[in-house]
Amino acid sequence: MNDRIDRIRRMRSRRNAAIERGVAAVLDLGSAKISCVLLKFDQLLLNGTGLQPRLQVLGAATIASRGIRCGEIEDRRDLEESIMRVLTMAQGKAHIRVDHAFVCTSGGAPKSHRPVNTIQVNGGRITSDDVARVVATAELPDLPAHRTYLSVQPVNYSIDHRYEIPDPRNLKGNALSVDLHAVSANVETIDAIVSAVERCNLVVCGIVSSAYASSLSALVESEQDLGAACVDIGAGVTSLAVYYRKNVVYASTVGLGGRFVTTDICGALSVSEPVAERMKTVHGSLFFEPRNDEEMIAFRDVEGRSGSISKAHLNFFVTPRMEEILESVSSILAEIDFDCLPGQSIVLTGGCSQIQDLDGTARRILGPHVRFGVPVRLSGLPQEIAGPQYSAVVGACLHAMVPQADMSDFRPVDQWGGGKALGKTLRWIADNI
Amino acid sequence: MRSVGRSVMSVLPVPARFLMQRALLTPVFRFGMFVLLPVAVVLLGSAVWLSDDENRKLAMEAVLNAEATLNRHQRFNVGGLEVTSESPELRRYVEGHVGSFSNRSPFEIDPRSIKQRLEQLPAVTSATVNVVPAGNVEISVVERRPEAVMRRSGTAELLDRYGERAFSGNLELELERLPLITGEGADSKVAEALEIYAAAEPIRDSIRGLVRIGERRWDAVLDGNRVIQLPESDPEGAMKQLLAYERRARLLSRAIRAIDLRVPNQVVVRLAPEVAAEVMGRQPGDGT
Repeated sequence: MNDRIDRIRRMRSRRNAAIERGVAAVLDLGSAKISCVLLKFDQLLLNGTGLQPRLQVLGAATIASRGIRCGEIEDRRDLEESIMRVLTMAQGKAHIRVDHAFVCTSGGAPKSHRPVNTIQVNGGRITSDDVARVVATAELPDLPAHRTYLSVQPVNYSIDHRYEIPDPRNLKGNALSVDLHAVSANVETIDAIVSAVERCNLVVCGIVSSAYASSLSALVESEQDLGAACVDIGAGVTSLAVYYRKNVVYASTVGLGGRFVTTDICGALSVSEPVAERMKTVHGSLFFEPRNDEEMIAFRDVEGRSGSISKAHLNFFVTPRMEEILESVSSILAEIDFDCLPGQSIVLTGGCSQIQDLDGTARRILGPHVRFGVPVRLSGLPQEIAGPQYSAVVGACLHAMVPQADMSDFRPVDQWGGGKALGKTLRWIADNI
Repeated sequence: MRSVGRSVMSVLPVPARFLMQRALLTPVFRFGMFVLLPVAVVLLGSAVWLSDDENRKLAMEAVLNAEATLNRHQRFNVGGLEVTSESPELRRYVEGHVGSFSNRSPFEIDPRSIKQRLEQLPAVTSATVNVVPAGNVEISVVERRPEAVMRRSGTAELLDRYGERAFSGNLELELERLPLITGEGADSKVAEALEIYAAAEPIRDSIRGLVRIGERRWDAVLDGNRVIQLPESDPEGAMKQLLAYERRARLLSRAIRAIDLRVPNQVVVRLAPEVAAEVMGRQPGDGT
C-alpha cells in the first residue's frame, strides 16, 4: 500500500508486544543527558467507562550523555555505553529486566509536512470505513532518499466546506477530506539510534521527536486546544512544536542550545567546561542592573590561574546566545503564521529555560504570552526527575502509553470487494503471507 | 554480601555489568544459578565423597556416635510409668505386667512391642503407648468387657461379645451375673447367644444356659432340665414366637420335657413321662 510508513507500522506492532509484556523503557537521548524511565503498563478498571490505560514508573535514572552532539550521534560506542549504564542504573532500581524501548530524540532535523486527501462520499452518512479510507489512501509527499517519516497523524477532517471537524462520523456530506501532519527525519540518524539501542539488547518500539514529546507533557489541555507553541530549549538543540485543536500541527528544531552558552564562556575565559557550566547555571542571568558591575565572580582557568569576572561581564556572554535562540524560534513562528492561531501562548521548557531572568527577554522577543512549563507528574516518578529538563522524557512516557492515532493504524475496509466474510479472509491472507 | 556484589559489579566494564545485571534479572537464570546449581553441586560433591568405601564407613560411624551420645544423655531419661484405665484392678495388673521404666533412656524403650504385648492380654481391647522424653511412659488401655461365661469341662472362662477371653477379675461374681453358654463351638457364636438371651428376657430367670449342639444350633436349658430346641436359622425369632405363644397358652408352666422349635411354624412338645403315660391312658378324643 504505502511503503513509506512501513517503518512506523513495524514500530507499532512492536509497541503492542511491549504492552503485552507490560514493561518498557523510555530513553531520552539528549545532547547533555540520557534519561531512562522504566514504565509498567497497567489497565485500570473504572466503573462505567471500562478499561483505562494506566502507567506506573518503576525506576528512573539520568546520566550525562556521551557520544551525542546537537542531537546527532557522534560516537556510537560511547552512546551504547551510556545507554547500558543508564539502563543498568534504572534496572537496578526497578529490579526488573526490560526488553523494549521507546526512544525520544532531538536529532534528525525533523520537518513537518501537511498532506491533504479528499474522497467522495456522495451525500451519505460518513462511516468509520469512510474515515479509514480517507486516511489510508492519502498520498504522502515524496521524500529525498535520506529522509524517512517518523509519524503521520490525521489532524482534522473537513466535509465539503465545513472545516476543523475532530470526528466526522455520522455527519453527511459529499466530499470528505483530511489534513495530515507528517514528521520526517534523517534516515541515517534514526537508523544509528535504532542500531545503537538494539545493540543493548533492546527492541525499539517507537521513536518520537523531542519537540512532540515535550509539548505533550508541558502544555495544558486548553493550550493544546486553542493553539500554543512549546519551545524545549535543550543543551544542543531547541525543538519547537505547535499545537492546535489537540494535535501537533508543526514540529521543527533549531540547532542551538544551552551548550553554546557554555562553550562561549569556555572560549572567552579559557576555563574548563564544568567550570563554565557552573558559572552559567549559578551566576548567568539575562537581567542587567547596576549592582552587577560590582559583583565579582572568582574562577580558576585551565592553567590553574585564578581570575575573576564581574557578573555584568558574564551576562554579556549569556545574553546574545539566548537572544539568538529565541529570535530563531520567533522567526520560525512568524514563518508559519503562528499569530493566526486563536491561542498565542508560548511555553518555554527544557533545561536551558531555567537560566535566570529569561522571562523578560523571552517576552520582549516572543510576545507577551510566554510562560515556563514543567512536565506533568507521573505516578512513581522520583522528585529529581520532575524539572523542565525532563519534559521530553515524560512526554515520551505519555506517548508510549496512549499514542496518537497514526496513519499506519488505518486501513481501508473492504478493499478486496465481495462479501464481508470473503473480504476478511482475503485481507487476512494478504496480511499474513 | 550485597555490597560485595556491588563492588564486584563496579569493577567490571559497563557492557559486562549490563549483561550480568540482565542475566541476574532473568527469572530462569536466577533459578538455575541460585537453586539448581547449589543443589547440584552439593549432591554431586556428596556423591563423589560417598563413593569411597572408607568415607562411607566414616560417615556411618559419625552417625552411630551421634546416636549413642544422644542415648547416653541423662536429660532425656524417662521418669516413670503412668497408666490410665477404667478399673483400678486392670491398672495395677498392667503396671505389674510392663514393669518399671524409671530412669531409663527413652530411645531404648520400644513402644510398639509394649503395645503388642498389652493387646495380647485377655483384659485389654486396645492400648496406646506414648514415650515422652524427660517425662513418663504414658499407657492408656481400653478394657475388654466380659459379656458371657463359657463353661468347659470343669472350668469356666469369661468371654466378650466377640468370643475373646476377657479379663478374669472375679469369676464367682461374674458367674452370677452373666449368661452361661457351653458346648463345642459356643465361644465363636457369643453374639448370637446374647441375642437369644435378649429375646428371652421375660423368662430370663428360668434359663440356666445355652448349649451349642453339633456346632450348628442352640438348645436353651431351663430349670427342671426342660429344653427348648431352637432352629439353626433365626433362633431369636423362634424364641420370640414361643414367648408369644407362652403368654396365651402358659406352656412352660405345664409338665413338659422339651419344646422342639427346629421346624419352622411348628411346635412339638414332649411331655414329662408321667403325664405322657396318663395322656396315653385316656381315651382318644378327650384332648388336652
